[in-house]
Amino acid sequence: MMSVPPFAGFGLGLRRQHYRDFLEGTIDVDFVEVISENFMVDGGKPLAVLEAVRQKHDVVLHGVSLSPGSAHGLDRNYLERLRMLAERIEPRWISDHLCWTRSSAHNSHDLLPLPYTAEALDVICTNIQIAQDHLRRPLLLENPSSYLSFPENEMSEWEFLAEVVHRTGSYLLLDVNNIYVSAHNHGYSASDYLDGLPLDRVRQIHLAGHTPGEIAIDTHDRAVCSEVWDLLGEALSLTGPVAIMIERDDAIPPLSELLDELNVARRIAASATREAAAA
Amino acid sequence: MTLAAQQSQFIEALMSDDAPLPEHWQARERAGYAIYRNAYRARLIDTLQETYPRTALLVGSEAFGAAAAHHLILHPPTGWTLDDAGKGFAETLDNLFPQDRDVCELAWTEWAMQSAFTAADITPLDGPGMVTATQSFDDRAWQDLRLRFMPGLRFRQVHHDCRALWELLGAEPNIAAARDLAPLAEPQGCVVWREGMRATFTLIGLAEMQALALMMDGASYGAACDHLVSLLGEAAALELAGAMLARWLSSGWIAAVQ
Repeated sequence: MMSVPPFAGFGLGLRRQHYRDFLEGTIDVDFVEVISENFMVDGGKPLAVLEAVRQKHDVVLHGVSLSPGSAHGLDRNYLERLRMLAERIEPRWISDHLCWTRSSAHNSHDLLPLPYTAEALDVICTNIQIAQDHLRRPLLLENPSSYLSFPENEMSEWEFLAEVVHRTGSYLLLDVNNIYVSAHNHGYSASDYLDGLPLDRVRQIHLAGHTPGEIAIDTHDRAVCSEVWDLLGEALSLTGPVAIMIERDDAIPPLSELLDELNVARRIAASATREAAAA
Repeated sequence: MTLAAQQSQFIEALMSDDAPLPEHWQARERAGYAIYRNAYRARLIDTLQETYPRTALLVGSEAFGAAAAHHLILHPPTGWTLDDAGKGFAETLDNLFPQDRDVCELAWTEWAMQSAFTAADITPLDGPGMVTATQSFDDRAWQDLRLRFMPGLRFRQVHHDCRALWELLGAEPNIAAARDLAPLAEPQGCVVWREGMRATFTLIGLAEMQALALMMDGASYGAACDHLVSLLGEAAALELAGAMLARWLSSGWIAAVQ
């Protein structure tokens, strides 16, 4: 299995509202992330836009429907569609989530939580191996936000995720906002979470906004909050430079606002690099 | 309980308030689960709203929301693409609004437009291409001519002017005028296809639609012409047979001569 080389850059998600900006302008990003499923189509404008953007930028594919935690196995048609898109676009990497989305009969189209048990570990590792074999490359797995912790849990999320990476040779897409949201919802320490992961396997970091509350919700509809920026600094001090991107999927602002947020990430990353050099 | 059984129960309960949650769950688990249940419904109803914006305007947001919820109960999503959540919604609306055929017809048009938008990229046959493909044809070969049509091309019979409805419910909607739109004097065929990167549609006569249906189903040009003769008589059928082929070609509906 190939490895995924480290890449330190700053990127944004490609959203329909910004197609024209990316096609007509020079956007100051090192890579663009796209939602894989939006482009797993037969043809037409979405694919034409993506191919044009690919001419100008590195692209990474980020999926929401692989459903690696599904006890009912993977959808082979989905996998084949994803493989065809990857062959066409030649992304730097492909990522999806530590979650499940579907049963044998229905698809929730949501990133549903897994019980962190030995059985679930076997299931997800088997599915990830199948996916990686089909795609002929290791995947990046993202830690999800979750609102429900199962009484059946036999290990922490970070122990589960670390074991998945160890067994499958996959890499990590560290969503710093998701760590913050889940730590708040389940009452654990975000620092413990970071310390428990094999951080040398992190290849990308996601940043996003969430809706605070007794149960915080990962809504991607607002700017990154100060606590998450702080956690980014802590994460980068442990991972070293990696690819960083801002996710916004609702209440999408003009591109300039997202580029301003990305500049905050750049400053925090530069500061973490300076501190590491001085240490 | 196995993971498979646990996941089936989890999903069943997302789709129905009546489906039981695990008995050992406490208030904390139930509160967390409610987030997933609400998100499931909100996301899918939002998806239908995005797929059918004009239909939503035509029926009103409250009725549309109820119809969308009804559709999701009848047809919970099964595939990996969220786009498919809207599949069959026109038929659901047809059952819910049997007296308002414009609702179903508009929804069908919106669905067909979305499907055509991402249809496979194939260059349609043009005039010179048709001439080349048929230059050696004798009468018999013309009778036997079969066509392959462009991916994403769809048609159906309509009783309302979809073009007028589309315009009335567009950028500056006039919902009252759309709801008052009188039916067509005669039913017509609505054809949806992709023109370059843009999905579009037009209305055609019923006879032409039937000929199109036959040929899309694999019938020969001769069989389609025979059908036109049975509907229109020989002179009118011959006139339409030539005109429709020219229209299909110039509109970019034909992919190839088979």
